[in-house]
Amino acid sequence: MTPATTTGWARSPRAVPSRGWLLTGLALLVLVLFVTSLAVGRAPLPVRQALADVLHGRTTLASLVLLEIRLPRALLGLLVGMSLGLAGAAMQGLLRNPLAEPGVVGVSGCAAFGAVLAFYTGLSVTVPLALPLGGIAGALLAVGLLALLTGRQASTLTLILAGVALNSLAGALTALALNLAPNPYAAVEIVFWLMGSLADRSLHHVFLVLALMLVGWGLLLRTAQALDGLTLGEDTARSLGVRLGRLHLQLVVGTALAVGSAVAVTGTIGFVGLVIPHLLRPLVGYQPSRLLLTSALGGAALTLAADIAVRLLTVGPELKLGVVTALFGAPFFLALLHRLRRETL
Amino acid sequence: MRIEARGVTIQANGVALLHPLDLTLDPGSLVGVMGPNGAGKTTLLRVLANLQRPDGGRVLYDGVPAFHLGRTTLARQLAYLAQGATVHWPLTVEHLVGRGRLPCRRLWRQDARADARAVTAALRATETEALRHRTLATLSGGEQMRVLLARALAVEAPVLVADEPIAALDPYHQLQVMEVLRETARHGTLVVVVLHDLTLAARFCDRLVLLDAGLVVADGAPDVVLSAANLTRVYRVTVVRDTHDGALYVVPWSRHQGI
Repeated sequence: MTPATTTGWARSPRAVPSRGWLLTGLALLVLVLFVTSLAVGRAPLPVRQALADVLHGRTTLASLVLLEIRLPRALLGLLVGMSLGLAGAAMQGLLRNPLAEPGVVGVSGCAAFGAVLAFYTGLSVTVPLALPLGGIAGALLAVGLLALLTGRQASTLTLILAGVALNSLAGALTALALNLAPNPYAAVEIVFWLMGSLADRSLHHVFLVLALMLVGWGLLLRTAQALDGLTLGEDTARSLGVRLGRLHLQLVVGTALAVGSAVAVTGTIGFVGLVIPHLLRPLVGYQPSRLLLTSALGGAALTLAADIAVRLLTVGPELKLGVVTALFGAPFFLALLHRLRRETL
Repeated sequence: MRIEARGVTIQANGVALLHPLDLTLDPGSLVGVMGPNGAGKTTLLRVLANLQRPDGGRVLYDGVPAFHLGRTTLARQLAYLAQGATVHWPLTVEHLVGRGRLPCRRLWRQDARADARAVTAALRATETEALRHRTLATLSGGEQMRVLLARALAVEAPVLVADEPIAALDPYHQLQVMEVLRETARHGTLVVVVLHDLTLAARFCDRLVLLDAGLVVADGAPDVVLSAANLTRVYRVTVVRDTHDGALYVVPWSRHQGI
């Protein structure tokens, strides 16, 4: 028999903070960033005054800015960031690979294509909320296709290959929509939307995705024990009572609801789901179950912080959030690859 | 728990890996499964552990088919130690062994004290208590194997199925693991273990099942199963057999030229 092998990298265990402290610290950080997100923007806003106006039911410019512009933006940052962090942690746990991200099963690509289709057909102009609804339809279609392609007894590898195929298909169809765009403005609009942003969303968007995300989070959080079991490989996980088919379904549907609806309202915001689980993993002693909630809070913190940065960087037109996260995320990804290569030598 | 295999067959690409096989394994015994490479030992273990559905026949646990028990119930009844186990993420030994308690947990509810007791007992039995806070990758091959065995012991299931648990170990730890397995069986657990070491099988097992090309060639007490004729036929080796302190030892001596 070959000796047991450890994948990932060998590192001496470092001091792991207690779970309570870690979660409290992250929650406080998210709270601070949330309040900062309400206070920061292009137009100066007397937050205290605006809050007083809202509480007293006075409709003033300040209260409108707070309720209609700042609050949806901060809330979406919170919800989308949590979804990305949580789904990223779950996906890395399933694949037992630090390079996995929520988009790997193809639901984000399909959600983006669904939204692009709403743009392309002009529905987004005539029907309110056609964009997010199109995106959610795209995500759910992806789930259906994945279920058909992989079936109940599929291995994790089959699931990922199906996801890669779906991603390519969604990418090709999105490119086709751009190619056939009726006029350059439509194409530019699609491209800008795809870059991902939290700006100019309303509370309607928040309410539309909130319920879906809550169900998605519930499904993803319930995978905790199964992901812990998977640490020991698929056979041992099954001997510990893990139902792999059900786990795959929970993860795909959970990701579709959480990340699919996030993409549907904000466009593609990359790298949060990749970077955050990876950064926080050592702090939870590499336990996949403990990483889920931690990573959700971390994702919210990073997304809120990046969205604040977008508003503070006053260079020309406002940068898109997806552009900023990718600008910071991609070099991190490269550093990660470099370290992995070095450690496998 | 008693495991019965009734007319179990396994096929892969039209080739029979297990021919119709009947086996009844009783609680409280240490059963060794032996045979040359490719004889079907791992396949048999996976079928007994309900990790692979037989193409024909069925496996019963205390007379109940696996699909009536459900995976969670069975997980509490049967611990499985895979061959060449892989561990992803650099978990500490303590967390790793704690994974064995997963079947005993419910959503939002776990008996932390019972879990801690089971983990400590498993670490103590395998002499890995001192490694509790180390990560697996920093351990030697033998230490890793004992930690993985501790993980399986931590389930505290009435059946333990282990695929070649001593192959990577030095003689001291081979004896230690065999003693742990025998002790586990003495406490009423059914232990099924794949082995290659003829002498350790003869000394420690209550019963041996000798497989060759998916067929049970011999089944019974070690001194009967490990006859020179059986070993020559199955392993194509001639052996030296003798007793020491009244216990049988068997040493493979030369390749058999007759076949």
